[in-house]
Amino acid sequence: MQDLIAGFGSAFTPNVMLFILFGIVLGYVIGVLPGLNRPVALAVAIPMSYYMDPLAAIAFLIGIAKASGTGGATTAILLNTPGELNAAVTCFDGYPLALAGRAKKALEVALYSSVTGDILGTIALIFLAGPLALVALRIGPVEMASILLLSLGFIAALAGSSLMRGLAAGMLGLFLSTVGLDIETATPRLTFGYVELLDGIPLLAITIGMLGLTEMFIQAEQLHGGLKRTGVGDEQEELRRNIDAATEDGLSGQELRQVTPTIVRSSLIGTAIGMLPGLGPSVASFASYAVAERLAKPGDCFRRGDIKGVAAAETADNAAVPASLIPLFALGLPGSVSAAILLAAFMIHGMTPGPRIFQEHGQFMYAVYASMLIASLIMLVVGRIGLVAFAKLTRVPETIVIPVVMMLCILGTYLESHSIFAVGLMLGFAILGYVMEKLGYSRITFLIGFIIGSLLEAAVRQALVITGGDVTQLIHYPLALILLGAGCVVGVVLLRSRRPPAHAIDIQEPVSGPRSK
Amino acid sequence: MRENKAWRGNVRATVIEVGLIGLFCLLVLFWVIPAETSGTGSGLDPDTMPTVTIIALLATAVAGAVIRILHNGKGSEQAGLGLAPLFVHGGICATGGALLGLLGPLACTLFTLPALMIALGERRWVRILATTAVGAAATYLTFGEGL
Repeated sequence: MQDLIAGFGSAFTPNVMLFILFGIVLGYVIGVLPGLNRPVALAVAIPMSYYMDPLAAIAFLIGIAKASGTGGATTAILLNTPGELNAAVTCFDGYPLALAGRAKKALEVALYSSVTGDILGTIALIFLAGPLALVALRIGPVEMASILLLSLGFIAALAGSSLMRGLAAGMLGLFLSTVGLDIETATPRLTFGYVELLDGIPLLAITIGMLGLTEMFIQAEQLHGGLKRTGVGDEQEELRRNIDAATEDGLSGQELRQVTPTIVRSSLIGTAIGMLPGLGPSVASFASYAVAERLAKPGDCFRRGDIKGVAAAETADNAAVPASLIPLFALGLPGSVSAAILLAAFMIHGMTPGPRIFQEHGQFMYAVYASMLIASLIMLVVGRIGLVAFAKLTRVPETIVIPVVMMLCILGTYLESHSIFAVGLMLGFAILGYVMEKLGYSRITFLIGFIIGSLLEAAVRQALVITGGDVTQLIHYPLALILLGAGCVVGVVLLRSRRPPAHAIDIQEPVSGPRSK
Repeated sequence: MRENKAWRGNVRATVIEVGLIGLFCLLVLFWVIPAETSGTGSGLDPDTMPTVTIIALLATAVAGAVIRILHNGKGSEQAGLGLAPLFVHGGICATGGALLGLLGPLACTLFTLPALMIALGERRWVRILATTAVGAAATYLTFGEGL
C-alpha cells in the first residue's frame, strides 16, 4: 500500500496529469471517429509519446486505451456501427435505445459501467500482477519456454480464423524476430547488409504498419467498394435525430441501482477473462452479455433496448483491458493487442515488462497503477462533460479521417527514427498485414510472435544449456511437461472442433469485420 | 454441381495459398538463411531458430491446407484482395514516403493528404484545402526546424 501511495505521489504531477487528460481526450476523439478503434489509436499515438518522460508516456497511452474503448461505444449506440468486435455487443441494446429516443441513457450507462469495470480491472491488476511476478521469478528457462509456447498456441487458436493459420502467423512473427544481431554470438542474422537491421526490425514500424496502416487500407477499400455509410441522406438524418435524443433525459438513480448488480458481475467476468492470454475484450463482452441475458428477470428486454445489456457489454470490455496487462507485467507476455502495443511503448522507453520489472522499476510500476486509477476518474469527468460533444464527432467524414491517420502513420514512424528506411518497412508490413487479413492469417498472433520471439529464443538457449540438449532431462521439469502436455491437449481439442465459435473468430483483431460505416 | 464447383474453387485457392507460402519458405530455407547467417553458439547456432521457425511455418501452412481440403474446402473461403485500392493508396503513401526523404515532412504532408482525400472520392475543394492546411500547420509545429 505504501508503494501505491508513493506511486500516487509520482503520478500527481502536473506533467503526468496533463498527459493523462490529453490521452483521455484524444482517446475519446479517436474512439468516436469513424474507422478508428483502440489498436489503431494506440499504434498511431506511440510516436507521440516518444519525447515524453516514461511515466507521462505510459500514462498517456493508457489514457488513450481506456477512452478509445469507451468512445467506441458512442458509434455503437448512435449508429449501430461498432469500431471493434467487442463493441458489437453494445449495439444489441444500445442502438434500440437510441432509436427509442433514449440515447442519453444508453451513453451514460455505457460511461458509468466502463469506468467501474475499468477501476475494478485495475484493482485486480494491482493485487495480482506483483505476486504473480514473484512466482514467475522462481520459474526457470525450461518452464518459461513452455509457458511462451503454450501462450502463443493459445493466442493462435483464438485470434485467427483457424488454429493452423494462427500458428503459421505466429511462426512468421517468430522468424522475423530473429533478424538482427544474434543474442549470443553477436553475428548479424538476416540483415542483408543493412545497418538499420542490426538491432532487429523496428517494433514501431511493424506495430504502426500492421495495426494502423493496414486497418486504414481495409477501411479505404470498404469505402471504395461502397460497404461503408456515406453519411448522406437518411443516415445523416438518423444520426442527427439520435444525437438530439442524447441531450434529453439521462439516467435516473433508480435505473442506476437496477444496473449495479450487472456492472459488478460483468466486472468480475471481464477481469477473469481478460487476464487469460489470447482472450480479452471481445470474449469478455460476449460472455458477460450472455450471462446477463441468462439471468434476466421478467420485464427485462435484452436485444430490444435494455440498459442492462449495454452495462454488461461495456463493463466487461473495459475490465478486460487492465486485466490483460496482468500476464504482461508478471510474465512479459502480451496477451492482447493493447498489451502488445503497451509492451512496445515500455521497450521504447528502456523497460522490458516481465517478472523483474517490479524489482528494477518497482516505484515506476506503482506510479503506472496510480495513473491508471487517475485516468479512470478523469475519463468519468471528461466523458460526462463531453458526452454530447463527442457524439457529434461521429459526423466527421471518413474521407478526412482515413487520410489523416495514414499521414500520422507515415510521419509517426519517421518521427521515432528520422529514417526513411523505417517508413519503407512500415509500408511493407502494412501491405503484408493487408494480405494476411484477407487470407485469414491473424495479424495479432504475428505481432505477439514477433514480440515474444527474442524471449523464447533466450529461454530455449538457456534450457538447452541446462539440459545439455537432452530431451529426456525434461522429466526433471514437471511444470514444463504439464504445460507442454496441456498445449498438446488444447491443440487437439481445437483441431477436432473444426472451427472456433463465431464470436471467437476475430478475437482481439483490430476490427475490419463488423464495421460497416 | 454448384457445390462441386465451389469446392473446387476453394481447393484451388488453398493450393495456391500454400504453394506461395511453400515457395517463400523454401527460398528462405535454402537461400536466405545460409547466405545471411554465420557462426556457432554454445546453446543454439545462430541459424537454428530461423530454420526451425520457417520449417514450422511451412508445416503449419501445409497441415492447415490438408485439414481444409479434408473438410471439403471449409475455411478456404477468402476475402478477395482489393488490389486496385491497395495500389492506389499504397502508391500514394510510398510517394509520400519518398517525398519525406527527399524534401522533408512538410512536402510529404502537402502531397499525401490531398492526394489520399481525392483518391477516396472527396471532391469538395474547401474540405480538401482546409484539411491540408491544418495538417501542414500541425506538421510544421511538430517538426519545427527539422522540416
